[in-house]
Amino acid sequence: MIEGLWIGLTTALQPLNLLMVAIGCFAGTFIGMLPGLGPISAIALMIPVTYGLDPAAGLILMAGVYYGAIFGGSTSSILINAPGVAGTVATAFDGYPMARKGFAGKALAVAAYASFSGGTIAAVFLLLAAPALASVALSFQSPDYFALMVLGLTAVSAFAGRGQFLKALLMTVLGLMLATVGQDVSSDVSRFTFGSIDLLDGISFLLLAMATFALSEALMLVLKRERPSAEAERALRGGMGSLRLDRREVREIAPVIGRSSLLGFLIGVLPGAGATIASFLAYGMERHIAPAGRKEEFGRGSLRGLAAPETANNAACSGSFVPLLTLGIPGSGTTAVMLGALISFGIQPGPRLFVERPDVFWSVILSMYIGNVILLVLNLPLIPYIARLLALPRRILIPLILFFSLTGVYLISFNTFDIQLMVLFAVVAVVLRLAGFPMAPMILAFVLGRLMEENLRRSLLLWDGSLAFLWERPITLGITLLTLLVLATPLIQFLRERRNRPVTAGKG
Amino acid sequence: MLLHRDRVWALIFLALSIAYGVEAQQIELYFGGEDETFTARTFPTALAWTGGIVSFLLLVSPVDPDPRPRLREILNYDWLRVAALLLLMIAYGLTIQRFGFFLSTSFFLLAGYLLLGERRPWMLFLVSFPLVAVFQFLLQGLLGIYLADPFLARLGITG
Repeated sequence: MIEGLWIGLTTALQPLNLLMVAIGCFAGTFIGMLPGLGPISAIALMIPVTYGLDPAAGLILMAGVYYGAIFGGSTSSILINAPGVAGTVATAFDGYPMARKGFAGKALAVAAYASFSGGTIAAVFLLLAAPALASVALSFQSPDYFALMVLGLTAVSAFAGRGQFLKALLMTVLGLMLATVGQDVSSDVSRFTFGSIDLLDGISFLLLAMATFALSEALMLVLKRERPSAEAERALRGGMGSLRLDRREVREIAPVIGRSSLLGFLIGVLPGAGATIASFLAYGMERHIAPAGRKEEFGRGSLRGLAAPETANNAACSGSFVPLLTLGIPGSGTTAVMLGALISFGIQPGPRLFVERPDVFWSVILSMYIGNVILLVLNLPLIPYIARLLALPRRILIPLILFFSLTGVYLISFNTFDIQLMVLFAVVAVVLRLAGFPMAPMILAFVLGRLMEENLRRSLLLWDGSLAFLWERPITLGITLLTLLVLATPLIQFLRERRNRPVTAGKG
Repeated sequence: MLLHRDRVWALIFLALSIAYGVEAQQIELYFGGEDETFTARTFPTALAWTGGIVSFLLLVSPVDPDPRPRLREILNYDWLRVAALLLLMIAYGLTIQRFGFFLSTSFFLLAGYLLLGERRPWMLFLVSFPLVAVFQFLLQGLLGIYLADPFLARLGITG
């Protein structure tokens, strides 16, 4: 482990890789700040750039973008009450009231310190947990992997939101269906290509990610006629105020940061949960345990209410790398996009990654820490200037997003069919978004589709076509039971709500 | 009574799952492949069944009582401008190889800015032709990514 850590450190500290973290943090902050564009779009837009780099540098760049996007989302949440990312919605609860009171600088500083601390503490957890989990995962066999993938996909659907479970499940199935297009890996038989040579290699993951996130989000901005609000102009005119925190304020937020880091990391490790759930849970927990006099401050500019979600969302980002790097199974849409990028580099994440490619494994973990330092040291002082980008006219920005998305895909394949296919997917994605279907389960399922089919094939061959592998191996049985529990959760929730409804009505 | 939007989507996904399942049965198998434990049809068939079952569950599950205001809101969106942008992207795909990366991308950006309401001539010029020239130089000159460009080749700028 020490040797791997050293290799990772020397890789992460190479000038090119340091530059990549810095570029990633800046680009991520900028993209994450734009309402509508989240970390998935930010990472998808970066993938074509990473193809010219070695895998470690490419992944470091993407990790930087991920952190930057979350931090950028916090900035727009605090300044204009417009979270660029779902994970920073809870940040706006107290960050925006603080900005309205003239403490925008202080709110941004708290967000930056909380993000830094959360990310740093979680990076240490990751450093300890990832190798331990990876060594356990070495004993995993095909049935376990198959069951784990089913669990991951089910959990993503179950955490999709109230009333969204079935829609998220349908999107998961759609993602898996799209993954079956092209030649079958084991038999070389073409499937669902409808005679088109262009579809023989299957649908490119980058094409699908760009179309369903970057392109469709840009089109949604046009569709909803969203303009930079008066709030943005007011915030930019009004100045930031001081960025300094006094000793009393530091003492107040320090324990909050400790608790939220642990909570955020643990939530991030769970497949399907992520920055959004972590930030809401941390906010709720702090409000719940706050002293009686401090409870009323929540929602009106509480430092605790700002520090908790900011710490938790960054810690969850680090946590979400645990299943990706150790099991090769992404727990969120963002890490699914990263998995797709890793596979296209020829790297298969999983328990063997930290043995076979310690440079990639450890340098990514260490670059997360470096990314946090960069966000704090470089981004925070530059925030007043970066925030001016919020006023960049959409009429310039949107065609540029379309251009980068289309050429990003075209430059990989040099096939114009891909551009037309992207347009088609973007249209479908816009329509599905309007109907309330989440996109993240679809991209996650698409990335896992081929791996899932391969593991199912091996499991069925080993068990002579019987599904008994789901309950005959103890690990698989445990994971299967967990999946059933996750599947039952929305049903139990629904039944409990139905039972409570007449009681509440009766009381009122 | 109008069918609820979620139910319409459930029906669409149900139809998609059935069509996918039917198509899955058309996947060619090698001679004697039907008897194998796992064929190229197995996973798609399982997906078709899963899709069908989940669609059916969505079809019969309780829904929001009145989705109509949202539908009205959706109809008021800027569909015309989005349709124009989509056509522009299709046109970009059709022209990029014929006219070359530089010309087609510059005109794509120019038309995009115009469509979204940018009217300042200096801005229109600055973020289209020079921007694409710099981008293309970075790709070809620095990253070594070759872009066939008949227009620039005719001018003698690229090979």
